[in-house]
Amino acid sequence: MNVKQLTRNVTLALILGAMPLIAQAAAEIIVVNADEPGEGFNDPTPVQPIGGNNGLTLGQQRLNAFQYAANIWGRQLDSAVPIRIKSNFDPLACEKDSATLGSAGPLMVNRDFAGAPRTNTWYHGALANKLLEADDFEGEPVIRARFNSNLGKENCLEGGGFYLGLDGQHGHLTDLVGVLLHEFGHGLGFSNLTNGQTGRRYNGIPSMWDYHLYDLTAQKSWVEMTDAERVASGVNSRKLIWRGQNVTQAAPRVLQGAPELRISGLASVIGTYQIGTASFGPQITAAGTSAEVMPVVDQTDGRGLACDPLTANNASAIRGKIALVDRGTCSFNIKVKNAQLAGAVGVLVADNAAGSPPPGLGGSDPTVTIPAVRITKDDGEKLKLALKQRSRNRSGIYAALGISATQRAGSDEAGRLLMFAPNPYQPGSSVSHFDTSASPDLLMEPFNTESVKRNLDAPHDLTFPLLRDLGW
Amino acid sequence: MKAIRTLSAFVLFALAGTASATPLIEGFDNITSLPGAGWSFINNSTDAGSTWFQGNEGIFGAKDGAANSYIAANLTSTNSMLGTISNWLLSPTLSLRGGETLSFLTRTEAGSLNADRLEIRLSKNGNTSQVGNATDSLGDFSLLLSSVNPNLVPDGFPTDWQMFSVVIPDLKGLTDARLGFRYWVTDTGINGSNGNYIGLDNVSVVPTPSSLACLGLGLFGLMASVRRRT
Repeated sequence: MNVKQLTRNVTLALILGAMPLIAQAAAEIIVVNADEPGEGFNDPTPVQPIGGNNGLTLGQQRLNAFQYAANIWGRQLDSAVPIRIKSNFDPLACEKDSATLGSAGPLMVNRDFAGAPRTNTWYHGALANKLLEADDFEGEPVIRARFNSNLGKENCLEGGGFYLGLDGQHGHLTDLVGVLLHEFGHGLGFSNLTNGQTGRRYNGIPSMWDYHLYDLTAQKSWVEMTDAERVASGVNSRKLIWRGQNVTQAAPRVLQGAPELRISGLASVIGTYQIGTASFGPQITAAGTSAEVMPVVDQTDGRGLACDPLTANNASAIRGKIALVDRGTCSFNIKVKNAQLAGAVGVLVADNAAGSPPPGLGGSDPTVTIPAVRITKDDGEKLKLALKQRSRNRSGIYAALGISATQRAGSDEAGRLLMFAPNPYQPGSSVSHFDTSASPDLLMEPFNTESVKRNLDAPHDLTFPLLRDLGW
Repeated sequence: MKAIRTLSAFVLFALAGTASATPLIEGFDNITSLPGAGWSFINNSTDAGSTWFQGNEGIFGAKDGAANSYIAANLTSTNSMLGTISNWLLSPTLSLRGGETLSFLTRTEAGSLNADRLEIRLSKNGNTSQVGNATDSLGDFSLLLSSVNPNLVPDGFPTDWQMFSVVIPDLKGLTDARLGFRYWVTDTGINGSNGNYIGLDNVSVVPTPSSLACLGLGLFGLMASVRRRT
């Protein structure tokens, strides 16, 4: 057997006990508790039962949540071999407003085992065991998962710790069960084994992931590329797709029509633009909003920040139009509100930092009634250059914000799922998630989203179809 | 290439009548070809922005031919929030003796109330492109041939294509000269009151012999018959 162990840096001494958590499922998932006495799963702090979780200590409630998430995965999977996940709580990356909730990946990978669908190809350990129908790792954990022990403390999403209830009613807290489902997914197979930053394969050998990952620009799968081509592909925003049949077939039942921005008029700017949608104001609907585009200019350097009520000339220019404003200085909802008060029917916010895809527009203001989207800095500059050929009140450039008749949110025009490939590269997130443009939100997007349901399969989610593409 | 029927008819006649002068016909089908044909772009505006650019058919279309086949200048000639525009478009060097007819079409946007102004100036100083470097400098182009909306009246610029003609004054013999089209607007920029967007099309300079009146009538008759056929 060519068995390769990815990491062995956690000594067995840390494993205080292997606790079987589920016995009545199509696959048994076992959490190997790697926490020290008194911490993480062993934390004796007394707590009140919450949301169906009857544990009376913090550690027990954490274990109960693990068991609950493991049950969901166990019902979905089919494997004769128990899946062992070495888990614990550690201090992970934290900031005041953002934090790593958890991380997970394969602890073991395997290739060229009996029954392997492809030769000379890495399979995640849990999947390899399933296909082999035997434990090739002699009872060792095959997945490593860690969760942030500081979440909710000072300077770590303060006040926004894990919700340990099982009912999903997490309010402003982070739903631990949802995070567990996501991280287990990575460990079971939803992760790239080829380094996207260097392009190098693990031990020079491709994984099953590389056969399904395809770059629309290079028109090659990752298994066909050089290291340099894989590096370029890893930041080829919204041009990196998953070609697996199970995902593509299930996608139409899961994804909604894609919000899109189409620009028409002057030949130099015609096309469909990448957008980030706003967390405030109306949703973009099929009926859509169409109007001529006009810029706001209120800075001597040519930018239009729209942080103050618009001047008479600016207001006259954007009345009845879709206003182009620049990111910066004040919050997005203030800019959009000022444009709305001046008579605009929509807003395009041009990013002031390079990178794609454009993130969404955060903020809230229930009095905003016009749609707003964010576009990239490059696209903003292209539009602004063309808008120099305008008159006071006309530009001849038109924007339509609507829902695509042909494309679904999160897939390419052929219906294949877009994978997360932001520029610049985000280690730990890039290439191993679905793209953030998917709507409704999917479990395996890189950011925790409230709307994700606790389902793993179509018509609610595409996580399990992707695992099926890999061989599950 | 779009046809300029009226002018073509004149030119056929003119070439036969006065071979030593340089005719000019420009319909601005593709302004990227202008520098190669001897045209120059000089923007002396406050914090200079855009030079003259290919017409934007979304504002209005050309008189004839492709919808964007005209040249335009606008308020983005200045990047200043409040300043002065002096944005020059210089013709190729022409050999003129005086008596030739300069014709051009110009217009602004329908309903425009932000006053535009276009000056047409002449330099008799060879192939010079000297227009100075200030918003109010004229350099070698001190001779004013024509001004459209000279007093910057808010609704004083034509809002449909209008033809203007002016006879070049006597130059005392064959002289190398250049025409300067100057988009000149004060109190403009985003915060200014004046300046919007103008188009310029079908610029022509043709010699005008003394018999023009008689022959010209015949040519106009021909032109009308051509139009009926198309």
